[in-house]
Amino acid sequence: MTGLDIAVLLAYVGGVLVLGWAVSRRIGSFRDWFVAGGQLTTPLLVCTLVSTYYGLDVLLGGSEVAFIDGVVAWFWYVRPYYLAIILAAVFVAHRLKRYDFLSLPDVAAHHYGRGTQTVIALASFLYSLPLLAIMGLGVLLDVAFGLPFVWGVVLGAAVSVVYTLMGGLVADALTDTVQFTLMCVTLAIAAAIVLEAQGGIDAMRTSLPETYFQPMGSYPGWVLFVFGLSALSVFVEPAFYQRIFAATSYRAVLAALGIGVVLWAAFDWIVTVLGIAAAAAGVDTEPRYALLTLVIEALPAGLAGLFAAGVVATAMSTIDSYLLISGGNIAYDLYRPWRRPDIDDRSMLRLTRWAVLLAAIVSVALALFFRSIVSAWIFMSTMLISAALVPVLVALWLPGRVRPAAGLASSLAGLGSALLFFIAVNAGGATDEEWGTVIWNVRLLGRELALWQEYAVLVALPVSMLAFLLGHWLGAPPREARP
Amino acid sequence: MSGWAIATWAAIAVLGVGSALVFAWFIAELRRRR
Repeated sequence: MTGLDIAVLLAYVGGVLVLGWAVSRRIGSFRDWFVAGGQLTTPLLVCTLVSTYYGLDVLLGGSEVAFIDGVVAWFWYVRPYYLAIILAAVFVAHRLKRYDFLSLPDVAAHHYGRGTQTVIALASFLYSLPLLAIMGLGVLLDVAFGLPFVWGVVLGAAVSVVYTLMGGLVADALTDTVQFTLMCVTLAIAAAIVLEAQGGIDAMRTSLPETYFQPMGSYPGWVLFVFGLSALSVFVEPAFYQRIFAATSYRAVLAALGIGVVLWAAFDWIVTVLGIAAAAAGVDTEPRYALLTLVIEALPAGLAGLFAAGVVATAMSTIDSYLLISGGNIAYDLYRPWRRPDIDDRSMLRLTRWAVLLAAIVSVALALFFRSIVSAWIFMSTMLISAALVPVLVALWLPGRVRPAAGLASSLAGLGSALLFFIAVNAGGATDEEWGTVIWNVRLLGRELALWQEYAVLVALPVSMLAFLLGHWLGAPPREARP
Repeated sequence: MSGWAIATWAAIAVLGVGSALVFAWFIAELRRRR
């Protein structure tokens, strides 16, 4: 990294902070701050949706899978999301637009009451902590500038917190537009240069095993199934919900998601190809750092700084969005319903800003504690799916028929069984070096069974469904009919 | 050129041109509002 690279990066960070400050002078109410007053139009939605979902977990996680196993990363790790996004846009978004909600747990509160709201808010909080992006930022500043990992983590989180606190979702969405453009353009340039240097993708094929170019790769079928299943998280994704509530109209949401899917598919494919390129070039590093190491070495001065700024942008657009949500979970979804149901707007705004700070501190602590990326992502999405998918989708599809006990039983049993499964596999199993995850080999009915920790959702989702049916059967109907 | 190579260059074009178009749309909208 040269002085020019560092100047480019600093100019970007400075610009983002100035934007946050400018927006903060226009924030009048909690709604303005938290869902941008419901004023997000299509281009803003595209930018904020695409860049928020594309955190370093995808950039590093996707390239990690591609580096290890090839194009399976695109076909099984990310492609199921496009299908889920399209289904969610068509079947869920317009039902959400009918209500006046601000968050995912609001949906549970409306249909099942405070208990279910609390369980789902906890799951949403766990899911939304942006520790992967914060970890990634620490890694980048280490690889690019030799800054100690701990400092990178703290510095990156601090900048994101400051402008999120100032401008809320408006500042978040506006900076997302810059971050979105920066990350798309720099990745496209980097890919073109790396491909030229390596003689194109066809040259890579000759130096890699044939499985790298087979859509199924060499992962076990059940793991691919779980990768695919984790796309269900889209249906109860807090950031997705928040942006639907913030959109000017349902049409704006549909258009944004349609454009978004095309851009996501292109982005993912490039990430996959760069992961494979790193494998073909024989980059000698941990799988999750392969992409960064390859690209930063390949780019000339100035462009390397721009790419680093693009990666920082990728991380920050995720960190700010999810800090806003996890802070909102603490203040708006957990504290308010139990302690201050009649809280006024100004106090809510102030309280949530403090909660954002708290969420950032928890995330930094966890980022310094954990190491792996793909496993952590599957763990977080499993928690969310297990607790929220069944109760929220049933409530949206069969409103008026659901019973409070069903929601509570379903969310508690889902979250509980997922956590128990993870604890059991981690206690009984061992880390498998080849796959980089925890696997527990057990004998059941005379057969060898390899239980990956990723399988938790296969247990938790049926448990959550069963508990919902039991709660519905045994529980009392709601006191008044709900719309 | 193989199918993989065509897909890759198409993806590069979509990212570069697509994101620039969306950004231009955003700027145009910002100007209209003012």
